[in-house]
Amino acid sequence: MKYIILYLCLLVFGIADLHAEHPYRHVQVLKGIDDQHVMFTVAEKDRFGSIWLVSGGELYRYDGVHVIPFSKLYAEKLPFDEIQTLAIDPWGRLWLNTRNSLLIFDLRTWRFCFNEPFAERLTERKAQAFCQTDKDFLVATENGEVWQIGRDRKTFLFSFVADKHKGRQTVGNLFAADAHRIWLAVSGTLYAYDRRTGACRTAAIPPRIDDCIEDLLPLKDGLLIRNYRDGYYLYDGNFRLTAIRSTQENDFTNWNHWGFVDGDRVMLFNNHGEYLELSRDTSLTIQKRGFHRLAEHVLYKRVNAWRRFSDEWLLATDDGLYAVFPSSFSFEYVECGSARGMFRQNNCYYFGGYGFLHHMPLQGSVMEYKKAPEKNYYAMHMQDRDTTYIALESGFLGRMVAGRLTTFEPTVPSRYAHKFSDLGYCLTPYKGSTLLVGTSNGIWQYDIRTNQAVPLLDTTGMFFTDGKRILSLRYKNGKLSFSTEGGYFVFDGHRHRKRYPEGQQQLMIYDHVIDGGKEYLATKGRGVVLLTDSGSRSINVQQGLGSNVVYQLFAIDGTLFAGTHRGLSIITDNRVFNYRTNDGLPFEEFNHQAIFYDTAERRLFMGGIGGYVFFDPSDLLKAAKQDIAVPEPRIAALHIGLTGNRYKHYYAADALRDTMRLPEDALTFNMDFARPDVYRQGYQMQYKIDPVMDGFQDMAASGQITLVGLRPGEYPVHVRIWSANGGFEKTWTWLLIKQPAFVETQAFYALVLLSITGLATYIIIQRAKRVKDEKALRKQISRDLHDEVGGLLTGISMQADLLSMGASRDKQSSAASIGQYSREAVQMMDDIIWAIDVRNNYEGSLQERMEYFAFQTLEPKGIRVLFDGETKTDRKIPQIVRQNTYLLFKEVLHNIIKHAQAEWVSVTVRVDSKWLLMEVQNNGAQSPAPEKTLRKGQGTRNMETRARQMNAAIVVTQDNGLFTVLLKVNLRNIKWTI
Amino acid sequence: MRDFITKFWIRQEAWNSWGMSFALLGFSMSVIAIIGLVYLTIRRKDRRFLLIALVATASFWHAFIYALIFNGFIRAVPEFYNKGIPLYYLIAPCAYFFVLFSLFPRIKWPRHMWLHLLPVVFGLIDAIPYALASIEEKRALLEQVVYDMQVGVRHPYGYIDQKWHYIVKFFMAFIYLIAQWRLLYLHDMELSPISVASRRNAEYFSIIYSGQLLLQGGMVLSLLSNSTQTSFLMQDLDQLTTISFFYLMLSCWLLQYLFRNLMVKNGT
Repeated sequence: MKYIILYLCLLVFGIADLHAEHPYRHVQVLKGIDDQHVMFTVAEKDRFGSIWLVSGGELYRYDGVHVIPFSKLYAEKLPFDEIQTLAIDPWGRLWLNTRNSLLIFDLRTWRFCFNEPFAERLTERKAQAFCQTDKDFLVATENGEVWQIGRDRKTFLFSFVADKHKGRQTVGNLFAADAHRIWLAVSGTLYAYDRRTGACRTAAIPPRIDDCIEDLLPLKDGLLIRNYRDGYYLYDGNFRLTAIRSTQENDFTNWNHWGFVDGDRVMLFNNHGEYLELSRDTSLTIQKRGFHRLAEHVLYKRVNAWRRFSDEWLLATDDGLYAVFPSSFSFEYVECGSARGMFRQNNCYYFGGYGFLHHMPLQGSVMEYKKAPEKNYYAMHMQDRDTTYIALESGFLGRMVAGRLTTFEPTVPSRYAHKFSDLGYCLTPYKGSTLLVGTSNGIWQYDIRTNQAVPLLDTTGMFFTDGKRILSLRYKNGKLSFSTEGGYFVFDGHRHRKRYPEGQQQLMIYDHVIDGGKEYLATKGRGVVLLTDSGSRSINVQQGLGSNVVYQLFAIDGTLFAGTHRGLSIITDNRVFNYRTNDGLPFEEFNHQAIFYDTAERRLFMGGIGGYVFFDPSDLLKAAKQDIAVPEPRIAALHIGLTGNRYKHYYAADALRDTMRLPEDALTFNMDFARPDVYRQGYQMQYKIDPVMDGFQDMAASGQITLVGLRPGEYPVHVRIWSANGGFEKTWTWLLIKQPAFVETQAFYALVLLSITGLATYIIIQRAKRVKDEKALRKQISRDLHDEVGGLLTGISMQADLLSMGASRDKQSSAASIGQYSREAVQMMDDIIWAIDVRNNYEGSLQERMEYFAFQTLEPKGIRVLFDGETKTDRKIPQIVRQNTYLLFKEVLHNIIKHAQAEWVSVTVRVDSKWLLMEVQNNGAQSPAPEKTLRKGQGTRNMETRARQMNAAIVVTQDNGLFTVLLKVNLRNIKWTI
Repeated sequence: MRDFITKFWIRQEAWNSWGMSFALLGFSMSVIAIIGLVYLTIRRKDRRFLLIALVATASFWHAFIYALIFNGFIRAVPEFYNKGIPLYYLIAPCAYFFVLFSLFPRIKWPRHMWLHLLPVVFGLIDAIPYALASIEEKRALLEQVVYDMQVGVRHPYGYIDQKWHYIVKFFMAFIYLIAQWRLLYLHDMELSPISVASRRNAEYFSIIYSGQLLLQGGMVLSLLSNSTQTSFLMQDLDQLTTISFFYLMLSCWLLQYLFRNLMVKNGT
């Protein structure tokens, strides 16, 4: 009996609170993994915006764009065969309960955790249940332990007797927690763990409760237990059945009797739109009662699991994945078919359209009004609260007085009869007792008193709207404004003038309103056009309008409400907000002339293809202006194509941060963007990559940005969320840094320049070398002439002087000296000429000359000459080497004649492509001088100088009576300068 | 002052970088060297001092304006911007003639010396449009330049595409550089009246100047080959650090050259 009383109370309360808000709505997130696989076992949303799904024992990720199997996302071999359930902890780790054991997968690092302190030993067991709150994550293991999981560690809380033989998986949670207690119902026992004291109490659950136990909802002083057979039980030390009931039988078995705890309230959703908010204490006082807008067909799907993430619930069902979340605004809906004009008469609204009128009392439901005949009720004008004139599409005009319709058949002067059209589309009161009716052929002036209709004429008597279909009419302050299929016009009583568009351009204008001195036009193709004294301005899709086709307009307090082809748009303070079906609108396409504002009730009615919605404009504007949680775009994956047909894939959250560095060998780069919450909020994503793009462009449906052939540098990738529904806009930026390969670095280019410059310098220097060599040669010749020949000529000169003066006692000796000096001079000249003559650069020339000189010089002195010459190359000996080697050889022989008593001299000359070796050996060496008295003679210094001039090494040794001079010339490394 | 810094200073994070430190040290040393070299030019009427003072001044102005752009302070002195174009064309010929007259002090100025000044004249003409622009236009341009340095080579204030200044300038500089090394090769100490120290001084200058030119040329090449990333490359501290370092080296050389000549004068 008390239940019946309580139920009646609730019913009365519900009627009284008819206008309670509709707080929750639902959308289908996914139909299935694919068209054939529509069953989901469980779904969880991670903190990075992706939804993790278990279907058919396999794990999937849904990023708002793609459903991808985990096996494709994880490069290594999967450590599981079957996933039974999953949960996500507050730190972004997936807890996967597999057939064999528990696995923990870290989304930040993209690897499984086994040895971390929070995972150690847990991964050797299976989980009985998970419990998630905003801050806590608890695991009950199958061996009867409850652990609290932290970021880096785990804490054991209490143990329990595990149910080894459980046969039923509940949709609800039998493991729940709030700030004070942790509750676990298992094996017929209820465990209550006090989080403050650490004490764990147990209570045996009565079998009648336990056998159909389904869900636990923690209360402040107890626990609410859902039993799918009996309803809700309260536990506050004792178990007792509560008065909470549903109107339907057996509806506790599924989530159609779904409840959860939210703050200090318990929210319960019943079948047939019933909705309850109870205080979250053992009194369970009703705080609010109303209706939810969750579709019935969703309620009856088989739910396998529900999971909460923030304000949203994800429902994994046998027939798709659904999300349930609070609605931002609730539109009242009048379902009356395709709507046209409407009006209010007394306390009843009448809705036009095709067929019967519909009527609805101020508080009540809508129904057909059959007291008036079926007509095409197109547009209305309320003359007063009892009388309304109606433009009829076929029938011209009607009048409704106190719910009774009268149609007029006006008399038309015969000269205008052939132009008369009874297709009325709009009307407005005009002068005196006349009305203006916009028809398919111009504007007609109808006199109520005489029942006569004449066309509206200008002062010249011309029917200036002849041939025009009139779509809207307004008469205010002596000025008539009207719109047609060709534009917008004004008529001042004398003549008409086209206001928009200019010239001969044609533009269909469905409606127009004048507010605050501004004229707004609802156009077909240009959105809303604002006319001011200085010109016109379009507010269209680019500015955020729902559609460029606008059927109806209403202006109030500077705010414009526009019914468009794609939803309801609100224009205020240079901002545009949009509402579509995602936001609770029952339809998106609005209709021409289907707009009405009830000033007394402050209700704006906007009609479309499905009927009318109505709302308080200020409430809607307030809701629109509320800060909306903007979904943050996330990168779901990175794919980098490298040289050598290699690829790298990144999925870890840590790798997808704000700054990403591409390796130098990266050729292609793909960013897969997730679209979080796309099912909740319609938004567009646009992107721009600096500096390769000038402006934003729409993101592809795949959510993928591909970059190919990137040069080294920085590429800020901007992603802008551009709302279609809420007027928000926000931009996020990722920085992409492509590292340069060596050939793309400044150092490489500097080396290239160095090479080019070096080569050019080498060529230039080679040309300059000739000049320099000539100069050096001239210097050498002059030096030789001065050193070698000059002395001899001086001697000859002196001997000649002595002879001429007769001072010489031994004239014969002087003459001999002159002869000797002359021969030596000739020899010197011959040597110098031989040295500078390039014709002697051929191979063998040097050896011939040396051999000739040796025999000519040494044999007359009785010194035997052993000459051994060998040439193994065709290479010509450079002039500088030939000259210096020969002069050095001469110096050696002169020294032998002068200082040694040699019996023989051995000369060996070997030339190959790299080296010239000359060894001169004689047996005239005297006993070596003591080291300290050893002094270099002029001859030795000359030899060293010549060797140095050609970058050669000279070694002089004295050993066992043999004196050896060894000259070694590197022909490939000859000194450049002399 | 604080307002000034707050208003104009950007890229503050680069202030502690090696590149900025090298540049600041280089500026300080260059300023001293320039003052000293101008003094020596006036006092001793030596064309070598004039030439190296011009090289020092043009290099300083180049680096200084770059630093102002990098830090955003150029917006405080918009008149400074774009004034150095003719000056930059002087660096290479002046460096060449400095080496020439250092190695061959008795050589007279070439007969067609004025030909070397032609690019300077062209640079001067091309700097006119910016000089004539209104201060608002200059500020608006520099507001873009400091954040997007590639605007500096794409702005319309000039008769030619501004990137051609970089191309022509460095192309000419490398020709002069090759000629400079040719001079060093042809120079024969045995026939030269200059001291070994003077020759070495010319060699060290050529090495440092070549290094700086190669790095700057490398940067210009990388800019030309990667035009979309001009702004990034021009702000890349890794690249700027090496260029700054060579600028510091040049400043060091200028300073030692100044002191060496001052000491010679003083007989120490």
